[in-house]
Amino acid sequence: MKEIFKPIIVLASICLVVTALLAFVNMETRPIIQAAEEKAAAQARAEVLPQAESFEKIEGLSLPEGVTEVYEGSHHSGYVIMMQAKGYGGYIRLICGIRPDGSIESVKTLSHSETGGIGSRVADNGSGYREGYRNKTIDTYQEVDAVTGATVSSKAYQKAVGLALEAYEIIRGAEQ
Amino acid sequence: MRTLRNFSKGIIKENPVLVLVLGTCPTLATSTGVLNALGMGVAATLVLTFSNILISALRKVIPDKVRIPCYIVLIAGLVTAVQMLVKAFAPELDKSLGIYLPLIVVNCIILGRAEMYASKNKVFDSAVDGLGMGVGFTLALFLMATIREIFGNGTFCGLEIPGLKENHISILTMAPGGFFVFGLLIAAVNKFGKHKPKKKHPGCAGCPQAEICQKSDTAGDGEEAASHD
Amino acid sequence: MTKLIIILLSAVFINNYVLSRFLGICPFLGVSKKLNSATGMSLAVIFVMLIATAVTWPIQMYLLNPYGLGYLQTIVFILVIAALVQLVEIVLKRYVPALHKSLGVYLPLITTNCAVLGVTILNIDEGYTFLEAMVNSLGSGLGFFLAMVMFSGVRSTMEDSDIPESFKGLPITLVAAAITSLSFLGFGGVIENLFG
Repeated sequence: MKEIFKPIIVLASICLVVTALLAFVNMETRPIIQAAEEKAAAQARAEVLPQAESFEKIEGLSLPEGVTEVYEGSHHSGYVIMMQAKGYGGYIRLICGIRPDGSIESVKTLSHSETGGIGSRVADNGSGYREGYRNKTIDTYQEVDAVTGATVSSKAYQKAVGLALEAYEIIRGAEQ
Repeated sequence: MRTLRNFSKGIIKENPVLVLVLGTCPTLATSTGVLNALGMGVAATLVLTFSNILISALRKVIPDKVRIPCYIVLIAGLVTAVQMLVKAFAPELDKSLGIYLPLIVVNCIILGRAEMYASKNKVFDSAVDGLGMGVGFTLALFLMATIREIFGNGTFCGLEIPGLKENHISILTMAPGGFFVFGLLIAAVNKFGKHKPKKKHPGCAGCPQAEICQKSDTAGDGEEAASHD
Repeated sequence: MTKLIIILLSAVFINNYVLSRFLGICPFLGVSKKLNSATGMSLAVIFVMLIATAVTWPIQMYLLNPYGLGYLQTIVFILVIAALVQLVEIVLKRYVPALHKSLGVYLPLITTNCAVLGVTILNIDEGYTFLEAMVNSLGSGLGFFLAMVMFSGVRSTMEDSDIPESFKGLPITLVAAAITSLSFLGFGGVIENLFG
């Protein structure tokens, strides 16, 4: 009997102890993780739409697929839209600030898995590609040229920006 | 002296990546940048050291029949704890390591050391062994990432290197470059190391599953022979 | 429907588990010498990936997430996969001995195969629905199969080649893997443009 039960008891107790310890670590780290995530998100929003003092999340609208979150800036300062499109290596996730007149204030990459040295020349925030989209509107955003050699990443980036501008039109339509 | 030798064997003589050829998946995947490689190395070293300590301490309690599931639970628990700590204190690293962070669980270096060393040795020796192997893993990753980042991206730890930045060989940071640089490094170890290159599956010597693996690779032979009849 | 096709083709060609994500490298290097063993191993991987996804996806969505236990993901998934592999082995041995004879040797290897754990975690991370997750697992398994079979072909032609002494064994295998993986780079972005 001992031969059968001992392994079961040992394995079960190890599982229990490990789970209990993990629950403890989780309890300790969860608030820190949430605070860090919230802080990073707030920073990104403030960066793409600096004129807004605070943001309010908009929900309940049917928006184009790929648009993940929408925020309205305080005092009609504009909107911040988060969206994604599939690039060369995976999703490129962007955050975009749009002024009340429908022109882009700024675009920023939240995460991407494009190839270093190629697609990263589009998706990296330091690359300068995003500067081209400043002041563009739904009629003019397609004028931004693709980066040579990184057409797929450029197209994905442009598609994502287009999604944000479309979402903006829908939000405006819903308001009127 | 003995402790020192126990520690340093993991760095050169039995380097888990370059000599034993274990843990190839994270080595190839996270060596695209030096910072990523160091982050991966430190996370794996933490897990490896503590898993060796725990398994060595429990070696007399754990029945032989269920030892592998027990090891897996302990290792997975440690990995999850490390994962939460990284998420809390280094969220950027968590983002860049992505899926490879939880996958430390199935890194064969860790299960390999548990099975080959920690389950047979005292706690202190096992801790030193784990630390040594972890440092060896980190150094190998660092070496590979240095080559790939400098020549593939023209940067080192994200800092631009003038002259190389304009002439970088992008392919080195992509998947084929990973295989290629790794192959060259192992060839260099074979050439300059004291060990003669082993003929059969050089990587499997330190792998806990070597026996099954080799059996299954030759299993095909029998069927092939049978089909000729 | 288009989305499912894109997921399937992306998993096979663009994000190929072995050649671009570096998951499951051990069996890729260890069990790819002979076409027979490469096929057997890949079929076992496809089989386990599908079952593992079918079990872990509901566990995450209906058990872990509602109770705020998402942090137990790694530990639960690896245990479930280990138990499943054992169970599959026993069931196959008892009821389908022919299949067990051809796949049996590979099953124990799969427990600690990072491709299987990888696909179950990625399915959750990508936010796939159950159907999408199953399609992704199928594609990932097929991609593994494709890489293994192609590579066993590459390796068999290397058998008789005159290789420099220090490159014998693993190094030349890795260099060959690099070239095989190079051929898969050509697929990047193609599939999106086919349907987009």
